[in-house]
Amino acid sequence: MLKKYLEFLGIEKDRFHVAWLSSAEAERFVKIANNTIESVKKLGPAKKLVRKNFNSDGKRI
Amino acid sequence: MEKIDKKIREIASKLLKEGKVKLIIGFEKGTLPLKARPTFVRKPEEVEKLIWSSLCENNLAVYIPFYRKQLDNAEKIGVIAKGCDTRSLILHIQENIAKREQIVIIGVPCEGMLDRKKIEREVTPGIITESTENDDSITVKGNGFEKTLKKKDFLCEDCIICSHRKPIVYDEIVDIEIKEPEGVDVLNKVNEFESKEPEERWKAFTEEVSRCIRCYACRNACPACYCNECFVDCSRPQWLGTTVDSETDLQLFQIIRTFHLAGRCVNCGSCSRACPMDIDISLLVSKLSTDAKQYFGYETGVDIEGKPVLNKYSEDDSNEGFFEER
Repeated sequence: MLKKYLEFLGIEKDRFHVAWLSSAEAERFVKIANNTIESVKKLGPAKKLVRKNFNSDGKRI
Repeated sequence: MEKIDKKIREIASKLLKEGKVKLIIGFEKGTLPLKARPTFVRKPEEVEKLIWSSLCENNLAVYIPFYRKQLDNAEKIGVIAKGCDTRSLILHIQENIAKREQIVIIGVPCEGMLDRKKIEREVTPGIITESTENDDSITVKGNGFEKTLKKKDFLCEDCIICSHRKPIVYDEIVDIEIKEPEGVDVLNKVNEFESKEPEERWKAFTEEVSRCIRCYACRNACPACYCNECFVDCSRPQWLGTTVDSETDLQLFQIIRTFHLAGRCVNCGSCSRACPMDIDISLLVSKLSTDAKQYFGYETGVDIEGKPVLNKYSEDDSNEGFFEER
C-alpha cells in the first residue's frame, strides 16, 4: 500500500521497492538488490523528498 | 431536530440516573453561529445542554483515548455517535483502546454535516450572526441579509461520499428514518487526481502541503491519531524537522501521518475540517481507504469482530507492488 501511495503522490515508480523474501533466499536477495540498484541508477539522483540543507555553492541554507 | 434533541436528552438522563455511565460525550450549542461544540455531561441535570444539528461535525470518538485511565477503572462512557463516529469507536475497540462493554453508544443516524466554510463563502461579504435549522434547509441571518439555503447543497465533501450514515453498532438509538445514499461515487476525486501525470501530481501535492503551518490540528482532530508520542514530537531520533522552512519536512509530515492511517481511517473528514489552511487531506486518506478496499476488500470499522487490515495476513493477499521474478 505504501508503494501505491507514493506512486499516487507522484514519486517515481522505480524509486521505491518492496519484496518478500526469507533469510534462506540468498540468490533471490542478490537478484532483488541488483534489480533495485539498476532501476534506481536509471532514474538518477532523487529530487523529491530530499532535504536541502545546502545550496549548490555548498552554503548552508 | 428538536425531536432528536429531546430523545438524546431522554436517553442521556436515563443512563446517568441509572448510573450506567459516568460521562456522556455529546454536543452543545457553540458560542459562534454555525458552530456546535463537543461537551461533557456528568450530571443528569446537565443534559439540557445537549443538542443535535447538522453542525455537529466533530468525530467524538477522538476523546475516547484520553479516557483510557477512567476506562481501566471500570467507568463507562457514553458517546453520542454518528455513522462515522461508530466506525471510529469500532477501530478503538479493535485496537484495544476500550472494550465494547465500556462504551455506551447512543447512535444518531446522520444525513451529512454542513460545511461552514461553504455557507460562509455563499453569503460573502456578509457576516453570519444567527442561524436556524429546519429539516432540509438552513436560514442564516447577518448584517442586513437573510438567506435560506438547501442543506444538501452545502454538505461537507466527505459527507457527500459517505456510505455509512447509520450507526454500525449502538446500545441506544435515536429512531429517525434516513436514506443511505445510493450510487455514491467514492472514487471520483481519487481517480481524477490519479489520471494526471506523476510530475503534475507531485506538483499539486507539494502546492497543497506547502500551505501547512504544522499546527497539528489534523492530528488532534483525528480519532485514529492517538499515539502517546507522535513521530513528529520524537527527539531521539528526530524523524523530521519541526519547522515550515523545508518543503520536504511538510511533505514528509503529511505523507507519514496519513500513511499511519492506512486501513484505519473512516473518512469522517475531521482532518480537512480542522485544517485552518484548507489543505485537502481528505484526498490523501481517501486514496488509502480506496486501496484498502481494492486490494484487501476491507472497510474500516464495519466489522466489530474483524482486525485492522494491516494487522492481519492471509496467503491470498494481493502481491500487487511487490517484487516479481522477471
